[in-house]
Amino acid sequence: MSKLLKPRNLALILGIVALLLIAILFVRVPLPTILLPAEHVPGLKIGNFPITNTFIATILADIVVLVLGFLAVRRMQEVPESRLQNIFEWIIEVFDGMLTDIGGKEKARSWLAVFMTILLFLLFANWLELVPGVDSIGYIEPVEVAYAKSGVTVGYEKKQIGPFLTLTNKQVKLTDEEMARIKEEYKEAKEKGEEYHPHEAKGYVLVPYVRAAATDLNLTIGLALLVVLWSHIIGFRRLGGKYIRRFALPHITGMKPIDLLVGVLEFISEFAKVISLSFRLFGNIFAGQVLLFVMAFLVAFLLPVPFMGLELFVGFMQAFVFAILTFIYFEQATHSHAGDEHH
Amino acid sequence: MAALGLNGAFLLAQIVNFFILFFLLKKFVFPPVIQMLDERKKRIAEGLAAADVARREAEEERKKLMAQLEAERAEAQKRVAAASAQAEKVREEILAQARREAEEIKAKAIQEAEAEKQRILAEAHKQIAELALLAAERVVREGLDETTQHKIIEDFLSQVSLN
Amino acid sequence: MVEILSPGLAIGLGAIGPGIGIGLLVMGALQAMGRNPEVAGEIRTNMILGIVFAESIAIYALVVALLLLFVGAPGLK
Repeated sequence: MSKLLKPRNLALILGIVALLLIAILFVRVPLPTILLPAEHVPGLKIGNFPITNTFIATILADIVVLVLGFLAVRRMQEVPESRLQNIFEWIIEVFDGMLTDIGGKEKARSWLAVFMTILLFLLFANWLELVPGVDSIGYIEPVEVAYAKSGVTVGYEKKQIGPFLTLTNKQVKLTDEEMARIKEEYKEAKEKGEEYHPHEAKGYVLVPYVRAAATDLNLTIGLALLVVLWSHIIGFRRLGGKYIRRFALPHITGMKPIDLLVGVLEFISEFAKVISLSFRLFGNIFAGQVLLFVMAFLVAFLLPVPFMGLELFVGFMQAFVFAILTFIYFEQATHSHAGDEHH
Repeated sequence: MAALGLNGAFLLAQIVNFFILFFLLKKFVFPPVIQMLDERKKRIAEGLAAADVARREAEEERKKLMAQLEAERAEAQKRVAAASAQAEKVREEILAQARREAEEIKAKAIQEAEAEKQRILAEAHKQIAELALLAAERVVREGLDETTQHKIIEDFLSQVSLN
Repeated sequence: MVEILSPGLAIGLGAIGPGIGIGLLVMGALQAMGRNPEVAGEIRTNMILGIVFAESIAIYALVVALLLLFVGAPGLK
């Protein structure tokens, strides 16, 4: 207790309380619009193909991974002087050992690259949500347009602060008549082939330029599908016909109905793999993002900090789990059933 | 599905993106690191093995030296033992010789003494006999009877032979 | 009203089971680690995998909740 009452600590505590008070009384942040589909970034297109803000995050994560990777191996030394090379070697050594424990040396070596790519890519993609500016810097759009596109009904008033345009925390809700009117106008504009512009904007929403990549189901489902399909290809290439027999063909007990049932269950479990793999990653990161939004909305300073720490951990855990499950699926696919091995 | 934001084009874009990243990393980043790790592991193993061999060699060398030293010490000991045995033998010999010589001298002395004694005895016998003869002459001269003479000679002789 | 309630109930009820399951799982794993700390690493890896599998049940509930929230169930409105 006496330690707590030292002038320095006392000043620190008072400062924190003051900061919290200022945050609660004066600095209020609007709650960002929580949307499931990734928003298109206006004005950014490749050919006719719009770019979503989650795809930008994907590219950013790619760049980070590649830059760090290339810097780490730029000048490889027997006795490493660069700390980056050291860290990189350590990471690879640790996970190589872990994979060797699970699947043996040969399998660990052949799929280490897949494992590490998934791990590093998802790690930086997930941690991107903690970078300031992600989810908070973006394009300000009339709430009417947002409603027409994705059914957002709550906007905020905007305010010019110096060169920056920002949203205040004053909420604006669309009424039922307005919603009906917007729907009509949107339909009309669409029939004319024009882009929809409201006559006057009642409120605004923020469309962030960058949004954590794993909050887009396209990434998680795409990756999960790829991984599960890949495991089948590997299984087929290594085991051949034996691998196909695992599904639906009678071979295990010789009793056809039971084997058929087992085969069907194996088949279904492949879809369950895709769903659980993709939605686990998506759910955790999406929920983490919403958690950070809500905490910042409640108290703008300090309160989000412990949750950021939590998200740091969750981001790593989810990347690791996705990668290790990928490896385990690969391993299972190439692991013939116990009954087959003794023949 | 659109409400969940699922879109075939984006899905494919993400997959393609992942593949590009995967191939770039697999081609340029992981092999040097893995190679470096393996190489270092090998070199460490080699270094340890070499150190082991060196240690074993040193141990062997030491053992050899120790054995040699031991052998030399044993040799020296043997030599010392032999020398002392030799000395002992010489001493014994000298002693034995001395004893033998002493014995001889002693025996010679005894023999000489015996011879002297015999000679003196013989001399004594002779003188006694002469004395006896002288005595007998004197007795005869003074006229003793035969029996007394005999008795005197007998006594005398028995006394002499008793000596 | 049902529209608001149903996603909440879906994830809320669906998270009970996995929550208990993960708790039991970690309890067992920690006890095992306490008994033989020399295999703590192995136990930890398997614990994480077990948690992941228990968690996927909660994820199915999450999927249902998200579908209800953003796509809606036929006949709900």
